[in-house]
Amino acid sequence: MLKYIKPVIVLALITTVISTLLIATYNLTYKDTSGIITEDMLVQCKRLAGEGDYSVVTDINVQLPESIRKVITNQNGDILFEIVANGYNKGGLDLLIYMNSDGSIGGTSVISISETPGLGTKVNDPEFLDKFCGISEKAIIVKQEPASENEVQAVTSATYSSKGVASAVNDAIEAYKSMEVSK
Amino acid sequence: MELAKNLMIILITGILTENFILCKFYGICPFLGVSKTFSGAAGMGLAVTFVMVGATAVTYPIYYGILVPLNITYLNTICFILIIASFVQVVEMVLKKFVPPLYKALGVYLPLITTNCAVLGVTIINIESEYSFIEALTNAFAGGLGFLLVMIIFSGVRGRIEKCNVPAALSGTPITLIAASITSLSFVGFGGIVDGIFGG
Amino acid sequence: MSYMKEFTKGLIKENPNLVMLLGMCPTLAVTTMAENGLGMGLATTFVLVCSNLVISLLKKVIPSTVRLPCFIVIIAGFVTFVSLLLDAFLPSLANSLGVFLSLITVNCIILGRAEMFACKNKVLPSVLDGLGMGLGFTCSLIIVGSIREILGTGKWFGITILPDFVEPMTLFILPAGGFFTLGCVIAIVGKLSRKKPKTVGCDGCPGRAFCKHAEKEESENGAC
Repeated sequence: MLKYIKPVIVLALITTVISTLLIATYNLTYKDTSGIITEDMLVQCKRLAGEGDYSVVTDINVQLPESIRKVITNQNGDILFEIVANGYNKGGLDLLIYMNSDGSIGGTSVISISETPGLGTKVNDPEFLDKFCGISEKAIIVKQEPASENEVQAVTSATYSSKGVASAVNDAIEAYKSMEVSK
Repeated sequence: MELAKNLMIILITGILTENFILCKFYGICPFLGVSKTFSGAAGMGLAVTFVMVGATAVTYPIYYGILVPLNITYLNTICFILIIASFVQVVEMVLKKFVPPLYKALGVYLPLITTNCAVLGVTIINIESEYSFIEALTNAFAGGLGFLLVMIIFSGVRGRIEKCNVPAALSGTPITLIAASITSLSFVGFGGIVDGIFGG
Repeated sequence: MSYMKEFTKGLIKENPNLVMLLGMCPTLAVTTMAENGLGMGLATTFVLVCSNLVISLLKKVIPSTVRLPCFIVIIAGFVTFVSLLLDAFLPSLANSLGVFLSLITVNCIILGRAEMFACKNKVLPSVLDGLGMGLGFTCSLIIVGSIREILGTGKWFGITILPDFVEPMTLFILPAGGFFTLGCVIAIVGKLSRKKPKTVGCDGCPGRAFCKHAEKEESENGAC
């Protein structure tokens, strides 16, 4: 009987020891960033909307699109959204979008990106992101030259990622509208 | 209807557009090692499909039933690989006892599947993509079918390569990899299918 | 003296990636950029050294029947540890490696070295063996990654190298380019060492212990 029990006990023991060590490591290293503005994000905010005191808006009583993670504001009342959008990978685009007071896009910045390296990550390019500035209605990604204000040409070989950025932009526009209406 | 459409998309994506071997790079070791003969390729492919679906069926409820409520989701690697190893062990014992002919055909490959990236990979991807249980099972099934498809294609390709005059330095693994690169390119052609059929 | 041999054999003669043909999955997947190859290689080296160390320490304690599950749990533990550290201190690398960071657990190299070397040798040789193999793996990842990145995007480690008029070939970043580059590199390495490139054989396979195929087909030099 012991012959069968001993291996199982050793395995269970090793598993328990390792799990305990990992739980300890996790609690030591885990940073909960859900309610705060990290250093990186602060730098991006200042780049998009200028110097100032930034804080997270907590009293939002209107339904915002699911992809909005945080609503950030500063002393001037500027609004920025942290949005996590799906590109090629689920949740692959973590973007910071700054809204102009007229509801159009003031600027877009990438906080983190987990798209295909070398291909999808090409959307993290100021030249592409700036194309969304000034759009106030639904942005559409097209493959050829844009025919109207709201059309943006996709980055070559990064179509899904480009569409992800567009969906984030559209969510930001919609969220800003809902917030304005509720005021 | 929405569910059926999602499942079809997952099926086609897993088998063709994001084939597990040629696009996602799971299961390369058995792909290079076992795809020489048709029987080997088919056997390995079927065994992998079976283990993938079974592993998903077991790991999914355990993840959402135990790891998430206890807030220890980071222990999923250990948990999943233990489950996969045990599952393979159990399947081998069951096959040996109850279905000896099947065991003779597939049993040789079963222990190798424990270390197959595809199995652990698909269980982790199912969690990351936040699929429902049915979608996760379909994803695993699609991945396995894609794996089987490419293995069978390659057993044919390798058979033909062997009859050709390959330069000495390239013979064996290098020429197989180069053949794989060309096949992978051809699979890129499937890229527009999902958007085309389902209107994106 | 013999310790140096344990260390250097992993670098060239028995390079796990290019000679023994193990650990192919990460080699193809993360080498789209040389930086990711370096990160993956170092993470794998860390897990390899630590697991070799622990398994060598525990070799007398682990019963032979549960040998493989115990090895797997130890390796998975270290992989989770590395993953937690990367999430906390280098999140961009963790994002780039994606699911392949967790897949280090089933990297044939680590389980193969544990099975073939660490459980039969003392601690110091095991650690050196792990270090050598890991660094050899890292070097081959950097080589393949560099080739793919330079030809595919004109950059190396993020620094643009190719002049403007040379158009990079995006093909090399795609999966097809990965297969192609790896095939060529293995062929070149085989040619340079004047050995015929091995077909993926039974030697490094962790399933060898219980594979009846291995005994049967060893003479035919076929695959497991």
